[in-house]
Amino acid sequence: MLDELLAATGAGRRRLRVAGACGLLASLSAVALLGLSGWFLTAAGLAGLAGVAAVQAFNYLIPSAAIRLLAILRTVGRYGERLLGHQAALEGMADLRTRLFSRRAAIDTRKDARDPRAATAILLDDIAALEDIVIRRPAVVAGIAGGVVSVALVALAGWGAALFQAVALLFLPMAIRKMAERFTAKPSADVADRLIAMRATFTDFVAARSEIAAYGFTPLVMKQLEPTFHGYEAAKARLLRGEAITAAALVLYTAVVVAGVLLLADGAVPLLAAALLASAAGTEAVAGFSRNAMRKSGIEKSLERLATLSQASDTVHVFASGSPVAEPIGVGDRAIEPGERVAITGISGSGKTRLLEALAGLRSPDRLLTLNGVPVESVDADHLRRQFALMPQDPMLLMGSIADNLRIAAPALDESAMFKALAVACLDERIAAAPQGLNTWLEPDGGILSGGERKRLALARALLAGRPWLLLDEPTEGLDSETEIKVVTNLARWLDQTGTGLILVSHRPFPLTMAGRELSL
Amino acid sequence: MKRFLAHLFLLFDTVGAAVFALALALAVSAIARGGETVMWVLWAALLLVASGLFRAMALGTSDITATGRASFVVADLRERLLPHLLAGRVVMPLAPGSAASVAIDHVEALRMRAIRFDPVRIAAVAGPVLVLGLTACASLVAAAILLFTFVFFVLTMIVTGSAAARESDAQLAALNTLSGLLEDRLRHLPIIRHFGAEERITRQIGISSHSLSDRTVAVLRKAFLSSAALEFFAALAVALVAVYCGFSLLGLLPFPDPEHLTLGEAFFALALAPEFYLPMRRLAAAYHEKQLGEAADRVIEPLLAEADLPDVATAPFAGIDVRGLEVRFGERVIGPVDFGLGQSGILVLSGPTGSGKSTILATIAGQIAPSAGQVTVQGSGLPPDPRTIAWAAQRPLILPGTLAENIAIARPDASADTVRQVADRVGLGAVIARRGIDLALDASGAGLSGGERRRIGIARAVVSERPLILFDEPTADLDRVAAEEIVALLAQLATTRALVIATHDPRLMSLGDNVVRL
Repeated sequence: MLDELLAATGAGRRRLRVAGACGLLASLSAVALLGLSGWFLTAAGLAGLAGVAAVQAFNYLIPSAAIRLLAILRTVGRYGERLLGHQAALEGMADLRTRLFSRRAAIDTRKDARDPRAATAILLDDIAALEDIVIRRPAVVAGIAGGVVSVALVALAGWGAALFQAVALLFLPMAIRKMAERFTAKPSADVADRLIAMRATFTDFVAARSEIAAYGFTPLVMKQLEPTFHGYEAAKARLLRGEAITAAALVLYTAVVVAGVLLLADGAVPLLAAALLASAAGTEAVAGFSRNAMRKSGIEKSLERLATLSQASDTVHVFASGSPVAEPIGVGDRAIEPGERVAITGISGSGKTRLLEALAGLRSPDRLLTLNGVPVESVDADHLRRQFALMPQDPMLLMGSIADNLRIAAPALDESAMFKALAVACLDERIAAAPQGLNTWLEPDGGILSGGERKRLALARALLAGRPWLLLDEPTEGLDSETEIKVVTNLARWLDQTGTGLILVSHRPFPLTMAGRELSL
Repeated sequence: MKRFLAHLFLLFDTVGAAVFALALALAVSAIARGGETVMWVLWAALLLVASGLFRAMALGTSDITATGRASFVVADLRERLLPHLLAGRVVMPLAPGSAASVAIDHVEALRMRAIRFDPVRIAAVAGPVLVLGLTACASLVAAAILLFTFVFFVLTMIVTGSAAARESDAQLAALNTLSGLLEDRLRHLPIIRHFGAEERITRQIGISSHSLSDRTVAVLRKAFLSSAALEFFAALAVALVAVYCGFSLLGLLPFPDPEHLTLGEAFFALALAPEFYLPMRRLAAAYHEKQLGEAADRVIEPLLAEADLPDVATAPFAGIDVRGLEVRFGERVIGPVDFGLGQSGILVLSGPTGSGKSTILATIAGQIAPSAGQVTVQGSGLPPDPRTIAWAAQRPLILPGTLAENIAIARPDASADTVRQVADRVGLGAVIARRGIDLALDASGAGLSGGERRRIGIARAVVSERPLILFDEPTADLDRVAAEEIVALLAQLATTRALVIATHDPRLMSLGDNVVRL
């Protein structure tokens, strides 16, 4: 599944292979360094004991040079592994992020997840988990290489020992998987579930913050939170204990493998020395990547979700903006003809906002609503958005510059077009006066713009879309009456000039003067 | 003491490593000597296993001790932090999602730092010292070699390390920016789709992801130098010890040998050499936990400091004066707000969604510290006592219990008659007739409608008998009949109590004796 996900992105795979090769070099050098050092030292010791002739016959130049070379190779290899591994992961993930976003964006809003906020949080968590796995990926090749070279070095000290080392290393990943199943799999799933529960419970309580503070409900709420938090603590403690046990068992395993090699080896002493040190280093290398595999088993659910989304056939395509012909709207049995300006009235809760959002393709309607005689719920989302431009009640501005926000409305907008739309919304002078003009940055909460100014920016955005119908939800809420009059006058003139139809919802009376008639829900 | 213990256990791991090296040295030198070696080999194998057992226990105990200690730290932290997030007086209230992220994610970051980073910190100093001492027992020169590589390692770290740490912090910040951007765009998908901008936004995400990945790689190129230095000196230490010992055993050193090494001593020094840098490698591996922990500290510490502020002196409500009240969230300023309100009557706060009506209400209730101006009880100069202010929420909190208990929750000693009367008065009579006043409720509200839930909040405020009631959007999303009932009820309540109502409902605005626009 991981491979499919990465294959989908294409990029970075060659680099990942190079990173793997670097890791292989590093791991190989690390094991060989210890093995060769052990052999060299022991052989030198034996030669020293054997007398001057043996010392003179002993070739120390090659091994001592090789030892220094291995030390350097190990360093360079590890550096390359880490750098290229991160590079491949970052680039691959950049592609994957884009791909996943594109798949998610292609879903019809009306058919999207019931709780898009939670869906977003889960997607971001999944991506982070995957990134972690990708970064650690070259370590797998490195681990296997370390294991293989250790078996080769142990083989110098006898076949029995080598066979033992090989079996022990082959068995290790399985042993780690078994330990994970026994000690960490369930707590790990528990922790993930309880984390979600804990977050949901706590978020609900914080949403009632004012009431809790006013009436001093804190002790009651803390008592309510206790079981959730306690359950999480218990699961987390089990998980950490499981991980500690697994880590400890690996250390013991290494010692036992080395002891086994010692007992089974029958080669010459220098080769035995090499075998012992190589055995220890090789087992640690394999344990390192097996632990990684263990981590991967914990995120299978994440990978599954990502793979499903990544393989979805829907993908976004370039939005062909043209100028579609306005189509008539039906509200129940009442018709609104193209180019008409209608105010929707009714008390709060009667579904005025719902009506606008249904036309905009954001929600399903709660009454009979037709476009060109077809119920809007069966009208294609793409068709709907070619007809309507919405200024929503909550402005829904993106984190980014003012220009970024306006550019959503249509491709290839130039500054003069933007300022023209801003002028209708009486926001042109304010933005021209800002030190960074159209590049002024908006934080998620709107930054320097006030509530009324944010609404007007959303109005300018809707105007720029150039659709045959404009949907306005409380366009002048939060404006002083002087600005309100200006904005409404500008809008009326703009509607005259463009011949755009208007569906308006407003508590305030003055904007209603733009409408030719009222339609009461 | 416990903290010290955790570090001590980790030090035992180094002791175990020394036993492991000793066993190897014994075996190799015994076999090299020749003769009857079986017993030696058996003993050495046994010692190897014993050393493994010892190390496993040391590591396991260290982990478990650290875990236990961390859970105490977490419990203590939650005890101080949660009440503040739930009800403390703050300068800037966090959105529920952010508050949960502080209470859960940041606290978890501190836990993981306490488990992964804190224990290895002292071991990273004590471990190498121990290895150095043990190596010195076998070979002074080998110990000197370790020390020599260490001096260069420290010098390299001084040059690359601090730069790498800075770069690493920058990388973390950059990654956060990218995931912030992705989150923002995912959250706004409905409006992006509405304007047909998916393809352009997708392209934008692609471009920023790639430019971020390029910048990050440039950063990592330097950041990984410090870990490469660690790797290099660790490898160099092993290589130099091996070469020195080999040449010393051969008697071919180019300088007078200060010691006479045996094969056993030499092998011990070599087998122990990799352990010299191991604690520091563990420290480097835990660097990420340290970074996340520091990021969490930066968020949590100001909150704890805020939680520890002493309570302000207050006076019971007897009419209030609000003068120049202003709340500042970064660059955003809400207010200034000025009004006076006596012991009865209605003041309406109006303004569009997001203009800060609820924030001003919470500031009047003493839950938010204003950046300027004040709220004072008429004739006292002190802020109003929160216990004399009731809050009727837009979506009231329902705690597990009966309907009656939920109504009387702010005043548990209220008589059943009072509760019943108030419930009728706020229009809960129909629900009670249908499902009974002992209807069991849970947090989700047991199928009550939004309007019924809202009325529980109002009933709660009325039963509390507090003289000032703050209403947050009491008629939002209600049908006409329900809204008009609420309006009538508020008009009636205002004859005996002071009401501050945040709303943009014109019917409520006409009810107000005074309307303050935001």
